[in-house]
Amino acid sequence: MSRKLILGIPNKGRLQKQTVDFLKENGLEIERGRGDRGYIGKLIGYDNIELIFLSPKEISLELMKGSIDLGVTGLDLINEYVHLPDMNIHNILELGFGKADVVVAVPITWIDVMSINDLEDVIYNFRVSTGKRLRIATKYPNISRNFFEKIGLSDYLLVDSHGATEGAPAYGSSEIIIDITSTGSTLAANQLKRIESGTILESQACLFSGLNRNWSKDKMITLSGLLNFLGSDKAHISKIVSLLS
Amino acid sequence: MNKAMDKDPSSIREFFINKGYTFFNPAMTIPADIVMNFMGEDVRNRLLFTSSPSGDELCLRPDFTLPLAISYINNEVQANKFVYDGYAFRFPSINEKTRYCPEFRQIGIENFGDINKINVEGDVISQACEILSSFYDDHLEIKISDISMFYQLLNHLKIDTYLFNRVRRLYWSGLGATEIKDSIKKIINTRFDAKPRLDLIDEYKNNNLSSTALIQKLTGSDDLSIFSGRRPDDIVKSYIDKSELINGTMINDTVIEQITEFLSIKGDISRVIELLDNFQKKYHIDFAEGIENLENRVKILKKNQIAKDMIEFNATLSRKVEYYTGLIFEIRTKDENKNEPIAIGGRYDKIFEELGSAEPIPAVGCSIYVDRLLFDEGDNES
Repeated sequence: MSRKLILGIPNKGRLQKQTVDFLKENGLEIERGRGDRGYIGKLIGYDNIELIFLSPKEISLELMKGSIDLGVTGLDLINEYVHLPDMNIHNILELGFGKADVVVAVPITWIDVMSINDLEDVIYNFRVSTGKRLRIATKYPNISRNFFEKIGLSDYLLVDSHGATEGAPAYGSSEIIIDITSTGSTLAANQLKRIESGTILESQACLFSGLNRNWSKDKMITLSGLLNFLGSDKAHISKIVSLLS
Repeated sequence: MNKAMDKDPSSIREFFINKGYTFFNPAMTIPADIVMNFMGEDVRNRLLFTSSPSGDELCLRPDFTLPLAISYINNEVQANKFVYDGYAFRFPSINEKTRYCPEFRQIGIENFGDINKINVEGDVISQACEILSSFYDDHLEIKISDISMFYQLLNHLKIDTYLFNRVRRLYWSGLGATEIKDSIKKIINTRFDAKPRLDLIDEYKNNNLSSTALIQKLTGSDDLSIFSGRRPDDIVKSYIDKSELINGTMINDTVIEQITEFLSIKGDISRVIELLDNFQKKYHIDFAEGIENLENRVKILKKNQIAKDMIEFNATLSRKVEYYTGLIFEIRTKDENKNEPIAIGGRYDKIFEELGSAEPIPAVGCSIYVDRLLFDEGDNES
């Protein structure tokens, strides 16, 4: 088994840029093998850490499988793609960027829907009056299902959506949506609004580790060093170390 | 002593055939919409969906009553009393310890169309008990309930339709009396909390404002195109209903108290009749019919050698399926460690009308959970 610590880094998009910037701010420079299209790399000056560039979704999946030790990805993707995240993944450090909420959003014309309670009435009446279930477009089917199961609601139908979820009610492929939003401006532009108690998850980018990975002493030392660099205090580091060992 | 291990469950099917029930194996899949309309939240969350080549959403049968009722209404079967034996499909709930796969065997009976309601109910319970006691001797207990009395109470309380439906759904979600009480309180406290624009509502009511115009004014936007399948008139009506509820709400502590007190009623039959009688006097509701039905069912059971002390009433009994309209019952073993009933049944008189029948057809049935019988033991080996 490799003695190097394998760290998954987002390979594209805003999350990648923010991650690189964040590491830079903390004095860590990334060297990506074979330029921007390489899938492996390293942190300059830290030979014990190997970087793998993956999509944020793949980072969630690989953490669960245990093929990488650490990964930077969104809390939303961990909750969506990892089965029982509390038992399989540990959130080591909140990184403070990529902040956004996974929310239930309904048309602003639904003036009678202010909260999840009101939505429950609409969902129920929708089925009774139309004989159909209310459709919810989302790229988070698992998060959505868990949310509704918790509040005891099942009269809905999830519609898979990949990108441009906010437009689904406009072109009639769903009645409401569950999506990620930071400023809410895309929701507003699509005549949608958030509702009370409709925030399912407050997400941000975090450093995660899988719990089923074998943590050797060497790797643990490397991790402690990395966390130290990223600004964790001693108490937090020893807490993480005891949790993983 | 438990004899379940030595017995062939097919003997249950044979027993019912000898009692005059016709063996029938209904369809494996049914339209998902029908299932969604009849099943409680608990079952709905655990259904197995599939789709037909033409894209219709289907569901593997979560029980036998629905597909059998569909066959019956479509005249695919000629009898009125049926016994079935086969697999139904639901993902196991977290609390189920006896199975890990979604399929489970059920043997059960249905009696459609018999208007001697209380007699049929008594017979169905008695027959299920008779065959189950051949597995368990006398170590059985029967729990019964009557949902029609609860609906009677909700109507008597004259609560608004929003809360009525909510309480109804809370009931079918399987919560206990205290949890339902807490949930109702929470619902009331977080009711529609906007400051309603009474001026606009007045304008609307005086026909000076259209539904769409009212929505435009409230949202501050003239450019509204997304209503997601709801008519502006319906949205505005719902808005006004909810706004008016904030003020003149009829929900007070006595409503919650009555619901909680009723749902807490349980115990042996004599005690429960006393409690129901106290309840009807205290809150001026007429439970005479419900109490008489309860007494008559117990009389029939007694005639069929089922002792009164085997029977218990519990107002929050088994609420897995939403189609019950009257009697609900469970048969359990007296073993304290076994918390799952081995048979569940009841009356569902509305099922045929909701499936499209022009006339009401009374219906009673009972399902035996075969896997629970067989898995049930191993602890009698000593």
